[in-house]
Amino acid sequence: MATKNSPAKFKEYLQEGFLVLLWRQWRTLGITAYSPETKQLIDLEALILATSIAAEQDQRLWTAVIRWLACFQDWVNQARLKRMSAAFIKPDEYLKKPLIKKEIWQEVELLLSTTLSSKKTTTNTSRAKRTLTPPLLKKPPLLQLYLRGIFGVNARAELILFLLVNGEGNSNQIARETFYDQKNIYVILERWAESGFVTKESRGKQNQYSLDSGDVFLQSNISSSSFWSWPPFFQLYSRLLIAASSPPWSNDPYLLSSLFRDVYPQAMSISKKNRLLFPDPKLFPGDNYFPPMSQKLLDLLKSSL
Amino acid sequence: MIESKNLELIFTALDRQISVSSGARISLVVCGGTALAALQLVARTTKDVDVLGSFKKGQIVKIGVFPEWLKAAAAKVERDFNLPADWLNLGPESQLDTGLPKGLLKRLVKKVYGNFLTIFFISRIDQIHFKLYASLDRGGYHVEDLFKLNPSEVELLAASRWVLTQDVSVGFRMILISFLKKHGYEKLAGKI
Repeated sequence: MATKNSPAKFKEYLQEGFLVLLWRQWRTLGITAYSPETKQLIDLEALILATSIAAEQDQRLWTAVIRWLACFQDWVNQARLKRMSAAFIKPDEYLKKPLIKKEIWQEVELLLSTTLSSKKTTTNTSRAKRTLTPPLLKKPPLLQLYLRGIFGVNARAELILFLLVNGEGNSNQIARETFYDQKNIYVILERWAESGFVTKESRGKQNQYSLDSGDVFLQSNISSSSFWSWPPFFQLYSRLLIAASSPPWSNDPYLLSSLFRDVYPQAMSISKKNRLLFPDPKLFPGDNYFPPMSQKLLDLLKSSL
Repeated sequence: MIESKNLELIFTALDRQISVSSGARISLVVCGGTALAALQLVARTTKDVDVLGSFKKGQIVKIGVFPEWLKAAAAKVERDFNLPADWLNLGPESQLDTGLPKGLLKRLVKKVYGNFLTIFFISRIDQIHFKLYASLDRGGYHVEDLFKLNPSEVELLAASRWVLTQDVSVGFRMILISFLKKHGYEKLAGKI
């Protein structure tokens, strides 16, 4: 029987939390579900990737998402999705296998490629009417789609989101964290600076850009949502979920502890935003790290719902 | 630090790490303090695992440089158990060039730590050989280890004859005789 701190229990809680998180976000995007809607800002491309990882663990969710994509794929920034997907479809640094199965990702790519999947899209669209409602862009967690509605499906939406959440940033940092080309981000920021939409300040070798508070019309939306940087978050939890579900990690507290140490810096960086502290790996040699770290990782997942 | 109570954990961890580092099956021949602890011959801690070579087709063969997957696996274990850098090392490998005690291969004690890692520990009698040599060469804790092994006169005589094949100089023979006398083996010294 699985004990409270066993790998089996960890997998059970992890999978449950991960799926609840996905359902809540998709519910907010218009998929019918019993779960409550999320209050967190949604990153659509990151959510698609995370759902692809969990596709085999919740077929009902996956089917609903495929239908959603068939109906509302115009909201998806495919170039950004492709760039973001690189870390998920190549063999993972620690697990030595891709986080998303090839056939699952091919299904997404096929669906988003309108010329190749028109037949499948039509089928999905007709079924979708019963289970989907169009995303209501005024919902605060859908600020990304709201901005895409205003600026189009391009880098501008994430750029504004970044500046709203972080206050300021340079073009390299923003490009890295939003998964856009640095040159593209730089050109937009420079144009916005010329027009006075953002403020440019030279600091060392980099220009820092911030939104001019006088022009910000979205602050009320952001105030109710604490921002999560979803791509690294989903990458972290995908690794954990896959490891917890597959040998040799799944029944080995030591190997899971070792993986926890691998992802410790990533987890620390993510948890900084909600001030959750993780136990120092040096204080818990071998598999002694499993109980305290597994609990903290589940706590972080819970706080993201 | 490595000691008998965590040795099993450390080698099992190394086996598990080999499994996730795309590694291959490997058999290592281990001597030194780790072998003393593993066979519970001497209860003491050690900071590293001295690898003499790999065990292949009934022979001990030189490794030269550990394969990348073993280095990667050892690095993970180093981090996970707060072990010193180079905790798994090929320090004593040159012993293969100068010769091993006769019958060492037959006396190796095999322990399997999983699907990938098998360790062959050198036996008590071979430890007496190596520890006598190290006592003459370096002294210190090796002397302590040697006498904790409680060698008989016959065993010390065999070890003495072997160490003289490692260094054939007259000076070394004098050091050996002096060492044996100092530790109460005057009769044995006379036979050298």
